[in-house]
Amino acid sequence: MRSDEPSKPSDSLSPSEIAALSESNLRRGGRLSAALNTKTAAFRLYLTVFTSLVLCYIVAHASGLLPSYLAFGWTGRFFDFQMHRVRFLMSATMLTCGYVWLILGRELVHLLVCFFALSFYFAVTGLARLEGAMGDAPNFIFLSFFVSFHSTCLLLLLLLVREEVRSDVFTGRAE
Amino acid sequence: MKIKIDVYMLCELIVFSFALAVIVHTVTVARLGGSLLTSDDAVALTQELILYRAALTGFLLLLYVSYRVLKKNTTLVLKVIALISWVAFIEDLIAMDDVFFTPELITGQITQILRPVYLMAILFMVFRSSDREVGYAE
Repeated sequence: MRSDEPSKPSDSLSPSEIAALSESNLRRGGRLSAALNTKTAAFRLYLTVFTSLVLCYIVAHASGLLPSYLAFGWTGRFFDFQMHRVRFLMSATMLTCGYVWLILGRELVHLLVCFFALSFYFAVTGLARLEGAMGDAPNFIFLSFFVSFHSTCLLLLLLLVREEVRSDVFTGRAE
Repeated sequence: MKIKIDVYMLCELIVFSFALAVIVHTVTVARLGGSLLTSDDAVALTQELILYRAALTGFLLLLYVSYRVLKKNTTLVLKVIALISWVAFIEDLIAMDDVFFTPELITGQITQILRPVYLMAILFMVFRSSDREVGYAE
């Protein structure tokens, strides 16, 4: 090659270029990982369990298994089915909003407390309706499953609030 | 003479008027019972849903009043109240087709008229309170 020829791009990448590319890949694919890295290990664990539980609920709803056990299955009334669908939609929206908030790096305490309150409302009114719909021959196995599911979700939300506060303390965001 | 109206306090007035209307309406419907309610669905739901909703909203408003009296930050309580109120509204609108609406009663009419105003007022209070928290508003 003559010395006066314009320089052509090389086939191989320099170490700094490789580092820059791998960094951008990490940023592109790992925003959630980066957001989770600022949280405590317990937060990550509780979030995983909570997400799995909500996903199980979504799968159970989507497969058509759940509605027959809930109030609609007992009463056959259309509003019970509609109510279940509305609550299903809200649960999915809550989960999505939680993850979006997490990725955006926003403060999660208020959001989690709001989710706790809403889940509590769903649990109390849902249990009351289910108990009323079952009438004189309640299905105690499903009732205990219903109570356990909601109690676990509520407990996990409370633990997530606690861990979020602790994460803020660790990262120095808390006052 | 100019009269300065505090919008936040006006919203508080709307919220408490609505809460009062809901409580009076709930008690009236519970006392008069099935004769007032036009459908079986409404009778069935009145037993469970209305009472729990009224109790939960009443508790949250009581919590808000106590926070106001103690001069604590009310943002979180307002957010929870607003979320539950909007969810209850969506449930009524989509799922229950307004089965609770009893136009025979004046309390039913007042509740139904005040509801959209209340939903807007509570949202305004949430935003104003959040702004105060971060220092955008006094």
